[in-house]
Amino acid sequence: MNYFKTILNGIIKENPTFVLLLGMCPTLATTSSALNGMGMGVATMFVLICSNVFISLLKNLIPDGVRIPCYIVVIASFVTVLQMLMQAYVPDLYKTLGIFIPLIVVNCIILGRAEAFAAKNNVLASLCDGVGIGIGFTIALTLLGMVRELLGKGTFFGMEVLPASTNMLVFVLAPGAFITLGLLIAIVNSFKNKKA
Amino acid sequence: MAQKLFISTSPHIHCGDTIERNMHWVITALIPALIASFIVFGIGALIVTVTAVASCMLFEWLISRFLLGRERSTLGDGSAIITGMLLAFNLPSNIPLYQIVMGSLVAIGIGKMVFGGLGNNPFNPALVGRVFMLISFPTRMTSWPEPHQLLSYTDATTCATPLNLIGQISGGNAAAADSLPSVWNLFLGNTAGCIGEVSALALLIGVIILLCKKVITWHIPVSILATVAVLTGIMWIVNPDLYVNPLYHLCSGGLMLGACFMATDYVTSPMTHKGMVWYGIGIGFLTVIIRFFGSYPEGMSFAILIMNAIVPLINNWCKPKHFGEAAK
Amino acid sequence: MKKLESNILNMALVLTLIAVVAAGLLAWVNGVTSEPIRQINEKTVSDGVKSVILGDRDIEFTVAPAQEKNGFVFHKVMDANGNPLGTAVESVDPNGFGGNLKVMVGFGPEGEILGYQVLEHSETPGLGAQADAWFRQASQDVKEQSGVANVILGRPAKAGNHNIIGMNPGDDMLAVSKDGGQVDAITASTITSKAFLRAVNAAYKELFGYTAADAVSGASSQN
Repeated sequence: MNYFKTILNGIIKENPTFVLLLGMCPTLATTSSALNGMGMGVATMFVLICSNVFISLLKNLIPDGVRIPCYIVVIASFVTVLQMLMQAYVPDLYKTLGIFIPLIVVNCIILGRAEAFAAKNNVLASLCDGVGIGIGFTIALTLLGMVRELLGKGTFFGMEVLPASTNMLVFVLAPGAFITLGLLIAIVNSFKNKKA
Repeated sequence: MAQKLFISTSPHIHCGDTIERNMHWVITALIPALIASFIVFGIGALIVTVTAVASCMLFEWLISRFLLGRERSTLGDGSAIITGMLLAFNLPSNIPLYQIVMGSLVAIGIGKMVFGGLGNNPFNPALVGRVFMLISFPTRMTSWPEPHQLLSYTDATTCATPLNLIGQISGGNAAAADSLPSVWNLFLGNTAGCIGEVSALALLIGVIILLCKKVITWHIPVSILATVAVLTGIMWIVNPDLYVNPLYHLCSGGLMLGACFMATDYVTSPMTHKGMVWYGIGIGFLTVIIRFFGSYPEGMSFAILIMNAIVPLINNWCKPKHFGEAAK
Repeated sequence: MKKLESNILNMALVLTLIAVVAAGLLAWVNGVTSEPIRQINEKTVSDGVKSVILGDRDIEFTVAPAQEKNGFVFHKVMDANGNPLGTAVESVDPNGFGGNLKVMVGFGPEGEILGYQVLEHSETPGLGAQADAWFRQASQDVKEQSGVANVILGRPAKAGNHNIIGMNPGDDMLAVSKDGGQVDAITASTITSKAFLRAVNAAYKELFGYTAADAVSGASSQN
């Protein structure tokens, strides 16, 4: 197993947002600015890596009959740890992301990777998979947040680049998230089709 | 497969009806409203209409040529012109150029071409553009210029529309009734509002042209207008102090324009006459609900878009019986 | 190592074991982070009180312990000699555009507004969410631009009157201008503006017992 290839696989070929279309709820809800998207991506990556490693470690210890409850307990513990850490050390980001931090527990990317990858592979490979998928998710969310922030608020990571009169409010709101995500997926697909 | 689906037994006659012919009659029918808007709003109306039509045509050509890679452009069928005109008719006459261009891009790009062009779009493209603009630029889209400032564009002074005033009256502000124009002025179009929607008279002339030329049937406009008249009539009878009489509702806002030109779009309306009536009732009902209880003063565009989404279901419910099929 | 068999004993044991370890981990992290979290929460409140009462002034002050009454939270602020500087009030209006709108308003001893801060809101970004800055914005900072820019991008919004700092809800009609008040609502966000002003008025009323906007809000509450 080529570990580097596993990481790359998570970023490009199985990008959770643009290809697998997993974890759509936080993707659409938290990307109103590039920084929020990035924060959400990194938070999810942290939980994903920890849960992948531990589930891969414990995979022979966990009987099949109770594997889902065990995975959920592991994931939920890491999410709670993350929530407390964020509240203590990055309170601003914690305030903006709000309810979406505890909701990482039900993010299907994490349970999906635990079930599909970590439960079948060794620890190092699972770590690489967590890093890859996490980076892929972070890149996608940052990109989405960047486009929405630029068109909706005229800012780039908080810096003003476009005058206020060109701002299109819809991109900050929920419909703009759907439109932007759809267009980004279309662009990604058109590149993929050209390559094929 | 050069020959796609070609089934023929009986002798068939082509009635001579084409997309181009219908589109040209719709454009003709919109001209009275265009003239009325020019009389009421002057040069601003003209600038907005020309910009919207030109940018819609440009985007239609660019997208079909370069993104879809089609050899023959669909520019000639006139649908982009109609989308542009209808979009412009739904805008205030002092809206900046940049916003019109963005609205046209969304109308043509996301409203139509994304689905594969004319005939495949589930939603009315002009309304997609309009609602996009309404949400994106709420300030500009909800400040309408006073009529008769013929030479001013973005510097026109603004005022409340009849629908704003009607909303204030039902909010308990009885003083707003004093500034409400008479029904006759509303009917002629002597009031503030979007470019194409102000003159009910001009729109009615257009509809008569369409009905005479059999471009549309009466089912959709009549069922929408009747539903609105009945519902607002009930409210008026219950409490005439808070709710104005139904004639105001019929002649104000985008109701007339929407009922006659936007809801009747072939692609996005039901196929059977029975379906059309249900579709019209739905639009009328939603419009009244949004006007009375929504946070926007006008609900016509939202009502039409919502009912557009239900059209496939309506088509399914109102399927005509096969000839000879036994009644259930 | 072979995978454990799915019999009832194994399943119960493993699940219990994992739950116990997870609980232990959480207890430990909680112990480590509870102190910083408490400090941050305290600092947020004291920073808020300082900014709404003192603004940019840098003087010694003490805050009396918070008092809670009828859902409002009061923080009395005194200077070093014990003279009152004002009171910061936390006030919530449940009818913002997206639900609760929680503000902290600082009133001087005479009832004039010294400053405010939006503590919690779920208003629309770009519209209602502007409440944070809108009601303290001086009206003259509107830029002029060329005629061409006016046609393409639109004319900048007219200078409005929406700076509530220094107003006194006891004398001034703190209501949106549509309702006959002295404050221009946030453009296209009247509901948020009304909720904000209601919260401010309610806070003042709890402190001083009456507001000038009572007459207006009494009339419009019939809606």
